[in-house]
Amino acid sequence: MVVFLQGCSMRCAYCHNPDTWAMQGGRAMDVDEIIQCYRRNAFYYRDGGITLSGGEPLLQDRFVLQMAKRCQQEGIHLTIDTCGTTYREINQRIMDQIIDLTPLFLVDIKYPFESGYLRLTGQPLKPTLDMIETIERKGKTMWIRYVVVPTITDDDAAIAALAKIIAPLHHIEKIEFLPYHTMALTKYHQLGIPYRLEGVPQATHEHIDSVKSLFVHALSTIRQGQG
Amino acid sequence: MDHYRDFIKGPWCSRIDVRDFIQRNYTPYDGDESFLEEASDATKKLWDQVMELTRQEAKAGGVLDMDTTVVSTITSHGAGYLDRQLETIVGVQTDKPFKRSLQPYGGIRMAQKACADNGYTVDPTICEFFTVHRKTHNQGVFDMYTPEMRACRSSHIITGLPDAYGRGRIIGDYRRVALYGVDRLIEDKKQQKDSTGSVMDEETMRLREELSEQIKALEELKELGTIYGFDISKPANDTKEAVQWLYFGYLAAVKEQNGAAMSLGRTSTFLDIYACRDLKEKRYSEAQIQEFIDHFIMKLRMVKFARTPEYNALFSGDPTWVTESIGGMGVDGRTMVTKMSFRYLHTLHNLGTAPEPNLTVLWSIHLPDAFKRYCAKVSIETSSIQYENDDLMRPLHGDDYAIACCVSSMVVGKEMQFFGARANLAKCLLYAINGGKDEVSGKQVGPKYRPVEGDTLDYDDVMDKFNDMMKWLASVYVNALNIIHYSHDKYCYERLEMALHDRDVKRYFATGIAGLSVVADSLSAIKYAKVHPVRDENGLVVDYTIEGDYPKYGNDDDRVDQIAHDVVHAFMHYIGQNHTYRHSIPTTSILTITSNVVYGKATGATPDGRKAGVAFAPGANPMHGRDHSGAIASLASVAKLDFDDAQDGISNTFSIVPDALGKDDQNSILLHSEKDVNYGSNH
Repeated sequence: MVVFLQGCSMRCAYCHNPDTWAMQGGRAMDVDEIIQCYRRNAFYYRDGGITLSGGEPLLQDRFVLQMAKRCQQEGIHLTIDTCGTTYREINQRIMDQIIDLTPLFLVDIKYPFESGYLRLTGQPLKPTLDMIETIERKGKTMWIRYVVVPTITDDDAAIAALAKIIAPLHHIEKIEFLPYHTMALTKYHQLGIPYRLEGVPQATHEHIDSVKSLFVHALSTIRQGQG
Repeated sequence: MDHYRDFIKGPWCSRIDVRDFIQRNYTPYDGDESFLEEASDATKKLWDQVMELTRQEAKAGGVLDMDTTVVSTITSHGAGYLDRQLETIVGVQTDKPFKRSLQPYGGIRMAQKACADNGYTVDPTICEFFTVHRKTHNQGVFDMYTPEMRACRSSHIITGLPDAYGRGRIIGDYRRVALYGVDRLIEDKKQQKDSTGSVMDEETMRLREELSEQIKALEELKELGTIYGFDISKPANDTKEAVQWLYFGYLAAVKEQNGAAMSLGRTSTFLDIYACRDLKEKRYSEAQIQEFIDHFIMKLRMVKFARTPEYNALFSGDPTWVTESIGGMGVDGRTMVTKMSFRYLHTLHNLGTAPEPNLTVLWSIHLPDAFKRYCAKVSIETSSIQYENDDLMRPLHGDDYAIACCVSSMVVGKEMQFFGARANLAKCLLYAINGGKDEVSGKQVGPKYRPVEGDTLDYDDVMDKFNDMMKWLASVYVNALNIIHYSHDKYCYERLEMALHDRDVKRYFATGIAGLSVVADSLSAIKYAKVHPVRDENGLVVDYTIEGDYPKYGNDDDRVDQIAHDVVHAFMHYIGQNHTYRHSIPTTSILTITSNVVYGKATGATPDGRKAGVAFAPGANPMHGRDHSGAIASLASVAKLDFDDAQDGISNTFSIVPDALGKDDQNSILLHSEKDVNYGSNH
């Protein structure tokens, strides 16, 4: 069961849910309600659990911590879908507590270089890398996600840098390359938000394949060098 | 040669008991589909021929040929073939493929109209015979109907009644023909006839007469075999014969009955026992066995009936409902999936996709994984498999039940059903509001109860009136069905199908509901929003305005889901208060998969905001576009309906984009270990 938490501090140029940026809106629900909602239809989720997504769920860190504690008590598998941007000194303690309680993280790496990351999202890259390092250190499982935006995030240097970040990590189960699409355009128009990627083409299946093989090559080269 | 060589003996040898034979002899299969064989050249050639005939039929306006001079019986026609040299399984309904048979016993006028609408004229001497000398089912019913029943029928509060066409929904145990041979079955029926009581009350006399009819039908079945050059008096000797014998049983049924659903039963695992023996004896190869099945399924795809355009409109097409139930679990915990389950589904690949036969997988969470995966694969490729919940039905029916039509479950050869179409509950609610007056015609159809008064509908008041009206409707409906089934037994008895049943059959008295989600949402609107009736110049409520919002069925919201549950429970309760024909057990269903459009057309505006004439949602579905809380919530609402209240089945037509079920790993790279890097797309 996916729970979408309202609010995000990132302003990714290609975001397909700009309606979840605002910290206000959505419907207020407490932990009990969500657990109840999950329990009553648990039959459908036999091999699943609860995924907190957003927005950026970790902006509501105290709520997420409550959820994580409760899920652990009740034996419900919890996944957090995050970009890691909330992992900063000021709230590192609560982030670490959450990581300790959560078996699986889906972590978005928007771009592997600081300058490009800032340009694309309006936020620094470092917190994300710090969070990945902590999850790795604590031995929790990660899936890394990377959105392939033609001409923006698909350059060879970026893919090589991504491989370099991933290579030393042992707790990554898979890497998903998500094709950029323009389906959110109408949302932007409706919300009156200017769309920064006007004219950028969608990523084709073939394009994803070529990025994948580029990545695999880079990763193998690094790992063989280490081996 | 011994027909039963290598079979494990048991009680099935001394009595007619196909299930016992299956349980002792079948081989569960938990492997995958890699053993399957492609279509043979003969199969391809034959199928091309069928496709060509289909094209010609479409070009001719939907019907290629109709019999207008020969009344169809089991033995009425000579042999007919596609290509005698190539067919491994033979037999068509008349003397040639795609020629529709003339079946007047249900009603001569319907038979005449079906011909006339397609540009054919029934031989006048046949019309005269079935008008003057031999009464039909249709005539019998109308001789007995009350004026109230006729009014309910013409105002469409009860519709689709099998009073002018064959009721169908009876599944003969066609496997018995293969396992025992016809002589043994006749012997058994003779013993049954000797076993009836000697006091000749009505029940006993009817039973004796019916058993005699069954014996005659079995004699004719043997004759049908002879027409095609087979002696089916003895048990089948191998797979080819078993398929052929079984098919002759089915063919005899469709030659004699143009039923609304002529389902096949649960034959695949039974036939697999023969296939296993033949493979072991090296009598036939896998490719040959697949060919028999391909040809058998091809024949089932060619089953056709003479029907009117109105009939086709009601059922959205020309369905025959040749439903075959596949898989499921045994009560002993072994799976009933065999290699033959795969072979049946594989016909969708070898012959291409088709809606008939209606291949229905009895789904259980315990089915072997490889079979589940294969089902999913075939579903994705062909969209031609129906799934039903074996875990829900097995506790009730055991492991030798089958589905008739789309969802009606019954134990093969031991249970049958009286098919009863549907009552329009949405219209019933409008009758409650209008004091029994029809909202479309303005006629007083129902009892003249007090209509609702005032400018706003009051929930308790409407519920009270609705309960009274449901009680009335249930009574008229059940009694109309009593007449229909009495008449059908008398004038259009399913001799052959019942000959392939036990003597003492458990009968279900099936009723049905249309418009459930409209009723649930309407009552919810009345309870949680403000609904104002709009009256015409005669004071008849013909429309509604709604102030505010209300919980809608399909969003996992108990406030309205409970209403839907309670309405079904109440209606079933009212149905059960009535006398039902032949000690039958009343059940109901919520499964208007196609006729929801026609029912909606005949129903005025409803308090949920649905406009007059707008189609109902199919079956137990939430109304179109009102379930906006995701797939799980929509399913959860429907799942709250109690199967005990609707044992004849609950259907939910559910379309979903594949991505909503989860992503595949096409765009991913899986990292199993440091050195092992795999492309997701290769998996």
